[in-house]
Amino acid sequence: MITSLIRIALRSILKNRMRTLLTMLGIIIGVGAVISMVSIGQGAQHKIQSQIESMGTNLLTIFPGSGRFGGVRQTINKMTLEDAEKIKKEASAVAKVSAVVRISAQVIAGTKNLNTSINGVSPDYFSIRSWSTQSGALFTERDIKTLAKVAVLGKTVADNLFPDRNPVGCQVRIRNVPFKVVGVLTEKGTSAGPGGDQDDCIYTPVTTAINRLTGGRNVNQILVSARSQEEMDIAQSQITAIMREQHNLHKNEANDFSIMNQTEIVTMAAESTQVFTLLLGSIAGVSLIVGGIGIMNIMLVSVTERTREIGIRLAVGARGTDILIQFIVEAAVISMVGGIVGIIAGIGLLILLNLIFNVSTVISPLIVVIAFLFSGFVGVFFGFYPAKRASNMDPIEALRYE
Amino acid sequence: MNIIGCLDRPTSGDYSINGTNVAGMTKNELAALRNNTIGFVFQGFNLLSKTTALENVELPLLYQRKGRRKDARELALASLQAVGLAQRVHHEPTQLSGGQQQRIAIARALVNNPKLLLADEPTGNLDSLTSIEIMAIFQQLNDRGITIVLVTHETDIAAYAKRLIEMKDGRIIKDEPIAIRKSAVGRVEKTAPTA
Repeated sequence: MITSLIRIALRSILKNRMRTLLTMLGIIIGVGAVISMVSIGQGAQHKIQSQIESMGTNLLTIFPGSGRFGGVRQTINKMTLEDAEKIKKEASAVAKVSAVVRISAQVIAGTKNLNTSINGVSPDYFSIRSWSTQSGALFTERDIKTLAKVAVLGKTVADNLFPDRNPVGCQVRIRNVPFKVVGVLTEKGTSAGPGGDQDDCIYTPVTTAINRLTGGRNVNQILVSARSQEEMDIAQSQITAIMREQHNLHKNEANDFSIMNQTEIVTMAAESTQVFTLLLGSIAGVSLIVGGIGIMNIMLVSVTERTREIGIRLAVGARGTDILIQFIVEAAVISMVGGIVGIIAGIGLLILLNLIFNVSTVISPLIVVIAFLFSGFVGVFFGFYPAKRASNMDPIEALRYE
Repeated sequence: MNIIGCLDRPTSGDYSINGTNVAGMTKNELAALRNNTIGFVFQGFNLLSKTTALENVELPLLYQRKGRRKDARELALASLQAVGLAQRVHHEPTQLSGGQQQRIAIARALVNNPKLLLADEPTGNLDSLTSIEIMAIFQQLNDRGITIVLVTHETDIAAYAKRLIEMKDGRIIKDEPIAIRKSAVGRVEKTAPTA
């Protein structure tokens, strides 16, 4: 019974190709928009997340905080290398620690010079950020102890200062202090946050930087990686305790440092991109609903136009439900075929965007399935009212209709 | 005519078919009755446009309750053959003459093997020669045992029946059997041997 009704519906769809096509267009655009918009949103989300992760995994960053001195709020840096060493020694949830001293300075190599950021770090820094050299080697704990004047160059610096040779073994001068280049880092690309090009920098042992370059005792930040994602909160409280002890803070005194948790940044970024995806998706969803109303429109016109046909069908023994099913199936088929074409069109658009504008997209199968089912639902939902009208027709009046 | 065909229900009076009063039947029961027991032939043919003769004739079979018949196509073909249209099965109504269209309509009415065939001015839109052809088909069906109720304004068409009921302003004024039925079969062969 139902198969023959589907056959009837398919026949009548095929008999009005132009009308069917135009109705489908609404759904095609709707589904295509939903899929491409959501995929672009998810692509952005994915990209931001992977950029944050490129900063390192299970990362905690300790910044010197502001303190209150005589009623005047000012930033005062009391963080030292000893703090970092203490954390590494005593915090059990912590895997790796590196103090970071950062200055901006002129770097000279032969006739070339460049203004870049000089970072004094310990070897742990590179493993925290899972960064390795493309040529040469990283400096070691031994270099830290001996205050070795060695440097590891970022890719951009290496390319600018030594455009035509391998810098390993050469000398660079930073604030007139000669450093021996021991390695060049692999390319990391542009970061999402401030700072831009992550490869535009030079790394030296932190002790050397403090003694030869900055002059002071303080470090700009301490980078810590927890043993695991789960231990990040433990690590954070351990660090807080150690830092407070180190800085002799009283119970009621506020922290003179702050800890930034990478998980929080990831969560925040994920939340904001999710809102973005949702926004794009709902705009596209509206167009899908408009497409559904288009179906209803056409089906209503079609019911009126086909009154005689309905009369004939009733006269030869079709029940009201038969007519109802026929019209619903027609609407559903139109919207589902439209859905499939829309999926193909949406994916095609994404591939095109990817090729031309290099937009990163993530096509999740879930959204494809949802868009398809939703288009089917739209068809049935908006097809129901016209179908109901058709099924309630009186056979005689329908037959007399001209 | 619509009441007899179960398309409409009487506002007063009773109409029973096969011993069941139509007034007590549901819409779906009426639809089933139209599907299985009654065949319709209209003055305006009432065929589905853009639909081949075969599909038109198949239509009542598609709405059968017992499920789609596997032999729907064969039954439709046989029915078209019975009205002499075996060569026109894949033509659409607009490609056929009025007489041919009416024969499709008859084939459609016959395809479910109805007991009762209702014809509402079946020859009203046809020329006299084609009318006789159609009447010949009706007479053959009648001889096979199908009851035919035919409404017409034309007395010469009425002459092909076995019983004549004359109505005026909604009342029966005459009801008498016709002693010698005029045969349309012979006349077709005489006047239109190629039909």
